[in-house]
Amino acid sequence: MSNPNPYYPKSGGSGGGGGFMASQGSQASPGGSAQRVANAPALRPVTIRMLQKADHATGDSDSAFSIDGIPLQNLTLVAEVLRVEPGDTNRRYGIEDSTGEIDARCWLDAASVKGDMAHITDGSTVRIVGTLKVFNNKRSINAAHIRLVTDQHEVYYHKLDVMATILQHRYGLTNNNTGNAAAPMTGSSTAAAYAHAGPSSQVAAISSRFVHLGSPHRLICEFLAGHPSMGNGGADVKTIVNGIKHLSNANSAEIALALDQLMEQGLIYNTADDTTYDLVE
Amino acid sequence: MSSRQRSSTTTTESTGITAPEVSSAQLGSYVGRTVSLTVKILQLLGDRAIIEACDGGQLEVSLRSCPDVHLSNPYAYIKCHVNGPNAVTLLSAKDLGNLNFPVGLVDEMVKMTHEPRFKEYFWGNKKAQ
Repeated sequence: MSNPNPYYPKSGGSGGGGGFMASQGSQASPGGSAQRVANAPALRPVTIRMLQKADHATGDSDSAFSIDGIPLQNLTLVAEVLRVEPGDTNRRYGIEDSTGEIDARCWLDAASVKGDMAHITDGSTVRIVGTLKVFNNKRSINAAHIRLVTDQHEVYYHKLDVMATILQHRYGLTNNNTGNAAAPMTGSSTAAAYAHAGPSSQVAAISSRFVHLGSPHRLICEFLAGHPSMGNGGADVKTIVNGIKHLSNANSAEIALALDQLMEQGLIYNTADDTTYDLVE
Repeated sequence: MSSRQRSSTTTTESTGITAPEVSSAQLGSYVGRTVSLTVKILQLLGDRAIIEACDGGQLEVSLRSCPDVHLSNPYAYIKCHVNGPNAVTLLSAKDLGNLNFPVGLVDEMVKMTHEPRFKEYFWGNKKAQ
């Protein structure tokens, strides 16, 4: 799917040339997997309110919704069915969770009509996986998957899932890796720690661009983004290392590797010489 | 940053039915509105019931609007209209059976959804929508 989003790296391609070649074989897989995660259609738990309030890049088609700057691709939510409008080729459900209401359209095939979907009626609680569409300024969900919620605990779980994901997008994953988003909400005290340690608003706005990167990649990008010489020559390796020393215990070899990978992904490029880097705008 | 214009319809249009989930302590701020509550059914008294909300606050719920509703023990997820800080009228109920975790956790969750950092994603910051 075409991805005009400047946040995510374009497919492959070492950036900028210069002296750094993708020569080290071990680079290929960590860089590659980070890139795959960045481009993977992530499944985002949402509330209906979030869908109604999602930003829509005007002039573009359905695939341009974003929430807090993160592009919205696949979504999942838990809601109650208000009404079912049957049809030949598809079924339209009016759904609401306590935050709002929206239509969800589910395309039928022979198997689904007789199976689970037969049990979905007014008042059913359902789990939907789908994408957000808009037609005539009215938003609706294209439900790829819809099923009955049998355990009411799932409703509570979903609200917590929404909040946990919001925090992850805002402050990054708790571990260094882009690995699976299983950082649990261990309670308000931990979450409050995130809030207090939160960066200044300028860096917070920028860091949402890099949350999918692991450390020290994200730290490097954030440091460059906040550095006064960004866009104007960039910073050299020593400055970068000193800049993130207090935030990361990566050694210089790891930082060098991270810089190479970031260049490979097209996020940074060499400016004055091989050891000076700047962020790609 | 890429251009990120808000489509004009989203900022002014309401999101439809909202029935914020609240604790009993917050009912005072939602008088005249519909809210959702996770409650424990304490007593059924014909056209009323005594219920306990997730924060332990007990209140009376009028069943006049739902004469046929079947409130089973012990827990239910109800939508009701708030007449006053301690008086609500039932609109709909969903049976939860037994919760396999202490109901205090629901209270924690509800409090979190009302925190400034999350409120916009759930209930919005305006008082009446």
